[in-house]
Amino acid sequence: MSRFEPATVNLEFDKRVGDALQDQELRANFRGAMDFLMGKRAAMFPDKEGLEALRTQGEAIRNRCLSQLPELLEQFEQRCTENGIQVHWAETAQEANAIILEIMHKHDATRMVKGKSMASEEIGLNHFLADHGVECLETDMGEYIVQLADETPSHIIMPAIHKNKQQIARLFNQKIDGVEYSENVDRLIGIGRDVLRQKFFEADVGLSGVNFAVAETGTLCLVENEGNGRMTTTVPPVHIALCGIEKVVESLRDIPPLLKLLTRSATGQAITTYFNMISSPRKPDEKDGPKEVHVVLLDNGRSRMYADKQLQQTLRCIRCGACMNHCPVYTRIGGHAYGTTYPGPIGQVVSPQIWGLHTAGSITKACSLNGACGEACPVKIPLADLIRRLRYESNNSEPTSVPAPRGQGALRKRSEAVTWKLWALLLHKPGLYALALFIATRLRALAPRRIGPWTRYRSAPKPAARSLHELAAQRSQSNASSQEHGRHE
Amino acid sequence: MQRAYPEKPAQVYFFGTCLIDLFYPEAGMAGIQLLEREGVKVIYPQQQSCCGQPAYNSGYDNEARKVAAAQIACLQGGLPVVVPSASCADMFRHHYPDLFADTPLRKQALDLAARTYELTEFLAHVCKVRLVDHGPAATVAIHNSCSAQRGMKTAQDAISLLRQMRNVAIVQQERASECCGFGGTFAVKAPDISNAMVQDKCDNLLATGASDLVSGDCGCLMNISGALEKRKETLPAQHIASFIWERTQ
Amino acid sequence: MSSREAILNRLRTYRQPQPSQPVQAPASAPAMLSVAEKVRVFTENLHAAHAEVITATEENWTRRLLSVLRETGVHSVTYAPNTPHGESLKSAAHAYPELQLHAYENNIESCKDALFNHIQCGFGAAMKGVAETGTLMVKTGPDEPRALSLVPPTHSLIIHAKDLYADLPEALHRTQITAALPTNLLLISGPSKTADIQQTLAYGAHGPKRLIVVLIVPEESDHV
Repeated sequence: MSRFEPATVNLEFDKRVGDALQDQELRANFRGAMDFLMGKRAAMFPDKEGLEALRTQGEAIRNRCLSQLPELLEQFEQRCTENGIQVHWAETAQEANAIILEIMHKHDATRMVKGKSMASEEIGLNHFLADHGVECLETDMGEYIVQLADETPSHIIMPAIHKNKQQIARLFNQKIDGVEYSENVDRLIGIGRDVLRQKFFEADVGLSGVNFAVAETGTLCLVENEGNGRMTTTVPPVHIALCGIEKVVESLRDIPPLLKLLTRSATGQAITTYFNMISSPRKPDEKDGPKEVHVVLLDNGRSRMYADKQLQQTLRCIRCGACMNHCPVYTRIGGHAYGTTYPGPIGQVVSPQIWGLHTAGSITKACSLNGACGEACPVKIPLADLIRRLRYESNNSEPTSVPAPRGQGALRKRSEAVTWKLWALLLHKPGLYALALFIATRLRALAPRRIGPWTRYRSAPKPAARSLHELAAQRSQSNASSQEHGRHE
Repeated sequence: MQRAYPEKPAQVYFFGTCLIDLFYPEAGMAGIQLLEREGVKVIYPQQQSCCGQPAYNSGYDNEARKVAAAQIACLQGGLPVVVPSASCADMFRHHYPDLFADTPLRKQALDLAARTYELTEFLAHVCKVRLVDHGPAATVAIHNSCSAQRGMKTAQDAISLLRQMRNVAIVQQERASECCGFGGTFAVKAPDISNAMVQDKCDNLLATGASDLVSGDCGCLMNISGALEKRKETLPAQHIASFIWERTQ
Repeated sequence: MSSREAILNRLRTYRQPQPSQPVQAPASAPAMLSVAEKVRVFTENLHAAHAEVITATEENWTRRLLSVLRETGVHSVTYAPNTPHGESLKSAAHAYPELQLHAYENNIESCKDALFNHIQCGFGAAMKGVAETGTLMVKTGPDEPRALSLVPPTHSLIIHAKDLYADLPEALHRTQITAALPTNLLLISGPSKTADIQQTLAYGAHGPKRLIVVLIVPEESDHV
């Protein structure tokens, strides 16, 4: 899968899942990585009550900021402009790409280095720019590995988590001139460092994502360990930040709790190596830093999510990835099987809302609604509830008062709908249900040995000789008669 | 925050769940008998069928609502409702209020939610049972359903009941909190993923060397024991109510 | 209608009323730590993050830092001129003839090659520290160019024990910093690192491989 094509998400989903489940190396890589990340997170939150208090606070902060979103965006824009940061608005992926390309053209720029930005993956920036003659190089080590392999990130925090060091050693050996095969991680990182330093040195433009955008001060906050984010936003003469509109927070006071939740939930770190707060381009008396800073505020479906009371909770997300780390499905199929930029539980919620249920709604079925994701979520997004809701919207074609998720009703299957109608008929009429129970128990010898996909991996359950309905009725009758009997004695 | 529990009532409704009704009626009977032994009269409304969760989880809200409304109708009258499944109890307790949020049944749904208890929860906190174990020595692996852990938060109640049994040793399994892969229609709609999950669950359970597997949810039991059977492994699996009732008579 | 208006209009139209939800700070109030405790926690956390800490006094820090640099083969250092710490370093450097000091005086465009390919260490100052996470707060500006703490393979910086705070909220809010943010306000909590290859930690991913913190403590607590 070298190129992200949303149109194929639904089509090939089952095949991708099947392939992933067959790939034992991939399975081992994910299992190992998820166990590691879950352990690291748990170690960071030894105190359950403290964690709950912090999550409650994180949820409240995000809700407050979302409730004031239009005002905060305007304030953010105003502060940025005062600080000398240029603000752009993009309703769609296409528009964001065009804005970024125009900035590149204005500077006759052909070389871009990128800090980690899932939003840029979301809009397909790399391929768009490549089509327009711009070299676009990922500089986060994981992203660099993934780009070198002509793949996409399989995790939003650890993009190359699907690969082990042997696979990366082979990749470097094959793709980078003069590099010998080595499984030594320090050496592999050293190779990446050397290649990418040269790229930072030469780049015309650096593009980054944004973790938090502070309205009060017009500040862009970036969280990272490697320093590539700082390189990207410091060395090239132009910095472009791509920022989802939901990332805005009210004030600097909101930052410490969110940062604490983010780094602890994501990688089990008390804090990352760098937290970078950018409030302006280089000032006249300063010696380094970009001379121009641009922010592209990206909607791309977010304002549509905002319209629905329940689905709006999607926008609380601070992109820590804890939901995928704790998801038993993600752990087994990995990130690529989803076929979307955002995998795992949050991906199952975000992706169908961005690209439409007709495009990406199928991935919502890859969830047992076990709730491990919502339990881990630092801002208490009820992910399982939202996945379930999107299943409903996939089948539902009743008009709603607010803009419905795109592609509403697109996955409705007549046969399935009829099955559920019959199911409801059977179960809401006590007489019919009792009859069905009676038949199933009396004809238990004829119970099917194969029941679709269930018996591919399991034996078929066999109806009991008498249903609980019958046993309970008998019991209450015999209780009544023995009471009656007792009274007569 | 722990839920506030009432004094032990004289009567309760028992909601058997459709899986127990058809496949594990002995678990339902064991639950009824455990309650009655505590002096609680059990009423089993014959009009009950299914909580509606299969349709609800599949995104068929209208169909779920239709079936759910029938349960609300037969469980009226203010008695506590005891459910031998955290999954179905969770449906009553946490999902009915959402399902009926904008409907005339809203109040009744909230009322039912407030008086719904999972069986082990009810036995532990409301009946405050004291169990006397007469069974042979057993090493037991517990599988707590995701609804017991995260929805009803009653996983500890099953454990505390088993801890009262003097001849029962509870063994720990790897990744005990991980989903077994049942998820209702998930097992049929994403069968390969579900299988990968249940196979791992089986491996972890077998690795404990337990003599018995116990769970408070028959969906998980049907999934796990079905997969074990297909693998021709023998690990007797029982609903916790059956397991306790058989050993405490 | 511009995209800006279209987005803002949609947000205004469909805004959800928020239930008033008081934001409760977590029960744990910021610990009131003594300077000695802050020094201890701060140092422990920096060590855990693979940073080196030189605890020194106003009088001896230059000698101690320069010895460490010499012992570890660091022969070229760039620093911000016209700063007290920069001038101290410069005057002490006379005793270390093999050390080349480069004042960071010109714009990065004219010294990019030296910075990227020759200079081994950048030396600067932190305005505050956070004990809870072993974090150094660096305020970039004319006297603290950003590249000092980023491009050379070793980064060293000086911080005074009196500027240590218990946690980040305290460090951010007990000062005027939030009123006028610098171009770049940085929190640095160790050397650059990555775990992107099979969760194996490696230092010096893109930024400095080494972080040497010079922690100035009052004379009497030199033994800390």
